[in-house]
Amino acid sequence: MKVDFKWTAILIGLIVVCSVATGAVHGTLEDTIAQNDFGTEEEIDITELLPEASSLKKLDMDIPEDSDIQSIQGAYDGDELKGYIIKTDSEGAYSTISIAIAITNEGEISGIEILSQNETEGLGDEIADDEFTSRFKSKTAKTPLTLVDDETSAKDEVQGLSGATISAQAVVDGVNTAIEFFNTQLEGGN
Amino acid sequence: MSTHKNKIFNTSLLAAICTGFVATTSLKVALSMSIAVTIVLIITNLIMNLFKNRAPNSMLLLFYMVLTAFMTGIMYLIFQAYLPDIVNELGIYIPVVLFSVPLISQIFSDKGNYSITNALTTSIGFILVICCIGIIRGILGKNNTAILEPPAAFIVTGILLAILTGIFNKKKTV
Repeated sequence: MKVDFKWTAILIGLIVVCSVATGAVHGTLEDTIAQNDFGTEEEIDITELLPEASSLKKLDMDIPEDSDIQSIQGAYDGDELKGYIIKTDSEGAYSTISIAIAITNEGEISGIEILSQNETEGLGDEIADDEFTSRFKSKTAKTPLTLVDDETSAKDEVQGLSGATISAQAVVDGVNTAIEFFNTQLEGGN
Repeated sequence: MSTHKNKIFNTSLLAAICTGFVATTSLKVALSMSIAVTIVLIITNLIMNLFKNRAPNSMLLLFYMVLTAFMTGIMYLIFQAYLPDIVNELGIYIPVVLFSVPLISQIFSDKGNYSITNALTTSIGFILVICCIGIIRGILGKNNTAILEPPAAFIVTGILLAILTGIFNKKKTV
C-alpha cells in the first residue's frame, strides 16, 4: 500500500495544532472551571447524623489552607441552628479517609459517617461499618478523643478495632480535627 | 414510504439521534446539547472544506475524527466553565455524545459528504427531534420517573416517528 507521506505529515501537524489550541483554551477557562462545584459534595443523610435538624446550609468560613477540614455546614431545623456537620480528611493506612462529623450545639458528637475510604478489605474498611461509627455517638466534643482497646463508656474514649488500629486511629484523628475546629472557631459563635 | 419522509429521517440522522438519547431527559439539557452538537458539526465541516478536495479520500475520515475530537474537547471545556449544571447531570456523556454524533452520522451518510449543507440539515433535524423528545420526557417524567429511564427514550422516539410518518404520508395523499 502506498503511504501518502505529505498528507500524513499534514495530519500529524493538524493534531499538534489542535492539541496546542485545546491547551490554550483550557488555560483561559481553567479559573472559571475551578470555581464551579461539580457535585463532589457527597450526599449526607442528615436524619442519621443529626435527627433534630432538617436542612443543611454551607457556612462561609475561613478554613486554613493546610487544614484537613474540607467544609463546614450548619444543620438547621427551620431557622434554628442545631449543630454542625464538619467534613475532614484523614490519612489512613492506605488511603485518605473522608469523614463527616456531626456536632450538636451542646458540644456532643451526635454521629459520624465515613464518606469515602479505601482501606484493607475485611480489616480497615470496618471503620465504615455502623458498628464502629456508632461508637462515636454521644461522645464529647469538648476534648479530643482517645482510642482504647476495650469497651468503654467514658465520654472521651472510643473503642478501637482489633487488626485495624491505624485506620481506626485515622478516624479518631479526623474527628479530633473537627473537635478542635469546633472548639476554636465555632463554639460560642452561635 | 414517501420520498419526502426519507429525506428528513435518513439513516444517518436517526443513528445520530439514537446516540444523543442520553441528553433528552429535559428540554434544557436537550437544547444545550443539540446546540453544542450543531456547533461541533458546522465548525468541523467548515474546516473539512479545506481538505475535502485535496487530501486523499481514504484519509478524510481521519481528518474528520481529529477535528471532531478537537471541537469536542473545546466544547466540553466550555460546558465545564459555563454550564456546570449539565456537566453534573451528564458528566462524561457530554464528550461521548459530542464526539459520536458527528462521527456516526458521517459513517452512516453518503460517502465523503463533508459539505456545510449536510452539516446544517443533520443539525437542524437533530435539534428538532432531540428537543421534541426532551419536551415529552420532561413533561411526562414529572409524574412518572420511568419516562426518565434510558429505554423510554426509544419508546418516545418510536411513537414520535410513527406520528410524523402519519402526518407526512397524509400530506402526500392530500
